[in-house]
Amino acid sequence: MLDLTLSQVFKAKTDIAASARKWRVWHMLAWQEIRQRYRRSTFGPFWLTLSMGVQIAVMGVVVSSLFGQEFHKALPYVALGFIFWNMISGIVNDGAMSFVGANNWILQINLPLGTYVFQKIWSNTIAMAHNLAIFVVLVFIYRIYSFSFLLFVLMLPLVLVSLAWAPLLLAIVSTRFRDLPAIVTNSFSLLFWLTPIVYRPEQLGPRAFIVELNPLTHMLALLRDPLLGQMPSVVNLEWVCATAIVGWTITFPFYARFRGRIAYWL
Amino acid sequence: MIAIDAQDIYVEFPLYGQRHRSLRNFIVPKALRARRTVATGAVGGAIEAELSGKVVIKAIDGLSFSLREGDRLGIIGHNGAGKTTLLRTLIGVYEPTRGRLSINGAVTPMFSLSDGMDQDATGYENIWLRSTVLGFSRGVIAEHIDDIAEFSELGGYLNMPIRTYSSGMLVRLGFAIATALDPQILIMDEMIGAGDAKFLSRAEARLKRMIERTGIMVVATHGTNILKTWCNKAMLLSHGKLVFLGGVDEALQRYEELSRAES
Repeated sequence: MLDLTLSQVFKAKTDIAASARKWRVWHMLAWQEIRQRYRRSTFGPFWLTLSMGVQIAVMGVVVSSLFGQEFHKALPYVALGFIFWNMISGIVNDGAMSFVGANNWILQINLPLGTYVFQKIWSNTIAMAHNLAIFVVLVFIYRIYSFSFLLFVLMLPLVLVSLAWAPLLLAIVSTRFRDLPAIVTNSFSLLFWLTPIVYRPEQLGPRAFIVELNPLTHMLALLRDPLLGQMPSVVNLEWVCATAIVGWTITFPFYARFRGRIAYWL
Repeated sequence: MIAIDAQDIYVEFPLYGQRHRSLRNFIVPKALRARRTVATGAVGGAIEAELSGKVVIKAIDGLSFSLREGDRLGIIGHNGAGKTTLLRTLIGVYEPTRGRLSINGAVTPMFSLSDGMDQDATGYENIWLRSTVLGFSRGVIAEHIDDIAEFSELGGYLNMPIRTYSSGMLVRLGFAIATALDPQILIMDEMIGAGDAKFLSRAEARLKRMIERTGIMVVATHGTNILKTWCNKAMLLSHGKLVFLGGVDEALQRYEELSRAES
């Protein structure tokens, strides 16, 4: 199936380890990417937060009247749903362009290729951190503090690890097949409705299993529940760990096999 | 020890969507994968097609050479002879499709002076950005930053976004950054040039100092002067193949003969 040599596996491992060690580089590139977009604007990166805030406020009103929920309960749920969905879909969508978008760099300098994927993951994580300001405001308005907030700090890295293989895998394939990023974008607008971002899984009644089969549902739950004062469920944890294991088991050999070809395809 | 050893390396580009028209694209046994050359140009590597119809361009066609510390190699050849491809292979961008390439020492690519600069970031920010990307640590950059600032003579402009710079000022900054560091193996596509006449003599002295600190230098060039000034070895490539490797004068002579023979 895949003609893998030991040296390819070793090089791929070295590449990923070296990329992780180069955190200064991807941290810098990620910040530069965000700053560049908003340079010379008054609010800078907080434009991200501002537009998200408006979206959340509007959706909060719609959702609470649509589902007959109290506004102050619906709002934090929808807010966190949007903030984390934005991060997850951003990581996968931007991530798919990691190599294609960085072709100028890849052909000129010898950074390990994983650096560019880390960059996309990190820039979207930074954007998410900006957006969390919206939630902080809600926390003060509705006084919803909880010790479970601390769990979020543990869950975020876990979710990032279980997600990170996707941008890597898609970035490799996108380099060779340039239609893929468009397919990914389209799939994500579909997945938006198959993930409980604005609604709750219970509201689907007997059809709730559909969203339960979506790994993104469980990632979202792991991130959102602690901030809503709930313990994430074991099922969520199992799903996310399983996604990480399955995803990396597929992606790593794939990366090992095709890493050397990426520059050729650019 | 700093060294580069290449043994019979190939860099072959697959051309997708360019299947050889006379042959259908169907699954073929390995025996039918034999290649034949379907086209060559006056420039560029050989274009080969497998019987399956897959088209491959041989940009580097079986190169072998060794470089040791102190070697200053200039690569010459026509457009498409494989100069840039070879440099990129040495940098690690392209892994040879066949053959063995072993490189001992940290490779510093010197890419175009303006690429990878952020127009809206200040001069100082760009110094950090570029040096970090080139793989130098914070400590090393901090050590050199005053030197870079001083040499560029940009003064207060270093606190301004570089989009306010003239093109000459940009060259000064790029050049100052590029020549500040101590590379073990330095790879350049065309010699970096620098700004106005007054700056030029200082720039040359600085470039010379950096090259003296460098273990191995490889530069691709079209300039005879550059070759004679900076290199102690030269490699002549044609269609991805090694024609000559040795002294600079002889290489230039062979290059002239080659050009005459082909025209």
